[in-house]
Amino acid sequence: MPDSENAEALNPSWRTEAAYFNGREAKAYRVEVAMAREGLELRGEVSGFHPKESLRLLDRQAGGRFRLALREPEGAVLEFDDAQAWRRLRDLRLLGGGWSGAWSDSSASLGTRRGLFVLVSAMVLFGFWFYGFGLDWSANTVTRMLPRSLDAKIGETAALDSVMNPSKLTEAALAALAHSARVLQGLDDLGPDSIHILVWADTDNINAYAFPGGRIAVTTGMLRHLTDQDMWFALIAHEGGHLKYRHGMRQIVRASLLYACTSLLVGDVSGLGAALAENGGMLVRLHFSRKDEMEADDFALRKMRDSGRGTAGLGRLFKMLLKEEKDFPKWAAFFSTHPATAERLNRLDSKEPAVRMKPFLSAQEWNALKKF
Amino acid sequence: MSESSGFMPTAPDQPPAGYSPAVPGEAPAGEAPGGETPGRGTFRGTGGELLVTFLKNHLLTFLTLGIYFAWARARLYHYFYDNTEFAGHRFRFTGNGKEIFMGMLRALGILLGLGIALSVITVLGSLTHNKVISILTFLPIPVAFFFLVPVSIFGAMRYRFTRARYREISFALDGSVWEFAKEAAPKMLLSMITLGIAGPLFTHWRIGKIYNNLRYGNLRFHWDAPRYDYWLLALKGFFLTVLTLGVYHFFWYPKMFAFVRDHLRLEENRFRGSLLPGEYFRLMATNFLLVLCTLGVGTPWVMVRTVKFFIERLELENPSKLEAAVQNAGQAGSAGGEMLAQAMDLGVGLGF
Repeated sequence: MPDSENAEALNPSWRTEAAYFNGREAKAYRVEVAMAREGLELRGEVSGFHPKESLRLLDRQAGGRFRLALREPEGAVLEFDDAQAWRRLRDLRLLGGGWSGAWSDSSASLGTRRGLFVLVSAMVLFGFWFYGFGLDWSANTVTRMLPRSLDAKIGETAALDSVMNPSKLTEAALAALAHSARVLQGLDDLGPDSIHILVWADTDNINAYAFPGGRIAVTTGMLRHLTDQDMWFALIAHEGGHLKYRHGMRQIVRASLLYACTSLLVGDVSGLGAALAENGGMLVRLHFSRKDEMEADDFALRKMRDSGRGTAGLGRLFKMLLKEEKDFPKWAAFFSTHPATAERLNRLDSKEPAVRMKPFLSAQEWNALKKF
Repeated sequence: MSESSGFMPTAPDQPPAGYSPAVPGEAPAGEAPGGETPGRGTFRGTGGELLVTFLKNHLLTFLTLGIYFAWARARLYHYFYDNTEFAGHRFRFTGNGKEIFMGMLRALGILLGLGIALSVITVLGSLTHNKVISILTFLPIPVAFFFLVPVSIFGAMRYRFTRARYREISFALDGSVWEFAKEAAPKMLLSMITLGIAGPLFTHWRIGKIYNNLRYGNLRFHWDAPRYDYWLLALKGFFLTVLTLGVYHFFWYPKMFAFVRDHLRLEENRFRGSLLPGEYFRLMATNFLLVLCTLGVGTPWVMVRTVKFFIERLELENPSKLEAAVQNAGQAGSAGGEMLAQAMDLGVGLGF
């Protein structure tokens, strides 16, 4: 409101121009605005003094465009387009004690290069932190909270038939797999009520997979390269380690969390439900982390020692894999989710005496397996 | 005056701030009927600012598990409204995150309540083991859809207009949302039954219903486009665009822009401005390349240059007549419709 005493007390030697709106009509009144520590003085088509307590910043845009709301008359606004006026307003601290004491949302729309840099850097750093630590911690916590029964359900809906081509097995081969599964189940409390070992007809691929709920799939390519039963024992014990520590489930939870976070980040959560439902099918595409593989190796080593057969079988398994991985560069090991086989081989104690136990499968069973 | 008093000398040749030639008395000899320079629009935002806004919004929405979405939406509206200038003065968005958040909760409540009610009805229907009753219990679902869509459209438009201020005078959208929905539902059904042939008639009705209820203070907007002309233009645009594999779209869109412009006025004040096929094609092509070459990072720049393109091509014959507007009370509106439209992924526009 006009305050003639204060207005006279000011020396308006610095002025700028602004548009004044009274909030009742659309007419733009042209005013000269003098700024002082005490407030603003308007002269021109509208005049009066407005103490700094009665000013509120409505918005500020790049290039010195800003608007001030005046407490009285209600709805009155001053519209500026002058960068110097903004600096003056700021230097005089005319906005510190505004009647609402708060800036409007719109002030945040002002963008600066520095702000952009800080934001991008913060997001990148947060992304690295989350991907490196936060994600694994969250995945572990969530997995621990989930019941074991869920593993079996996800394993069942993994649609193995759609991604795998089951081999035609002979009675003897089926007996060999069932026998091996029983041996594996006898090693430890692996979690699943029953273990099933399947054979995947894929001669080009030397691999094995452990699915949540107790399914282990071994490729015919892997079976073909096994030379003795200790290697076979080492392989299924390693996969048993994945089952015991629920690595498959953890990977699903991890991938789902990552998807959920990315969806939230980009503001699209519509595909999240579908992605979660499809998680069974993505098991084959997922790789266990380096840490998971080491953990499963350690489990296999322990069980091999406990059974008195020594660790030589696992060593031979790694050597066979190493021979098949000629093109995999050593430096890439750091970036791989799967530890390099040489690194895994080096972890074995070479001084450990080689012990060859009595084979746990009959000759007929072993031959049936090797026929693939 | 000494520096300690808090004043600095005025720059002698500094241009007046906050004014444009559109302010009465300053306008040069014009081309408009009143001898006035037409009021032109401009958009003063930049892609960099919008990118920062996007980043802030996404980061905070992510960190708050989606709750910040409402404040992010308010921030975005502030950005677009507050940077839009017409005849030398800027628009202002007066909404805030809190009311949008309440709208979010309201929309969620409506959708959840409706979902539960419809599910209960269909389950009860199936328990009767009567095929006719079971089929009939599915009927409320399309009925609810045909009402929810127009309710969302009108609600969203009302929210956006009532929160827009220009020269500190608010826009207002009169009329009842339920009346709008009641009239819209059969028209939507007709569009669907005719496989979209009658669609432009519904769009024409919708534009008219919105514009003819729209006010700037006490000044009313009017839409007087003959509906069959609109229908023919829209159908011609669709079929020729398909036949020419999209080429005709760049000729059709400027025609539609001109059609809407020619039949829209604010009291007796008409809109002007033109859009040329060549420049429209250039905009679309460069936008496409910008998004493609930057792998999507250029989207804020694409949005800004598109908004700028259209705003700068719309003029009002006598901007000084806007000064006759005085503030009139209108229905406040809530953000419920806005959030319903968001939840249903409806693109709410005004026909341009």
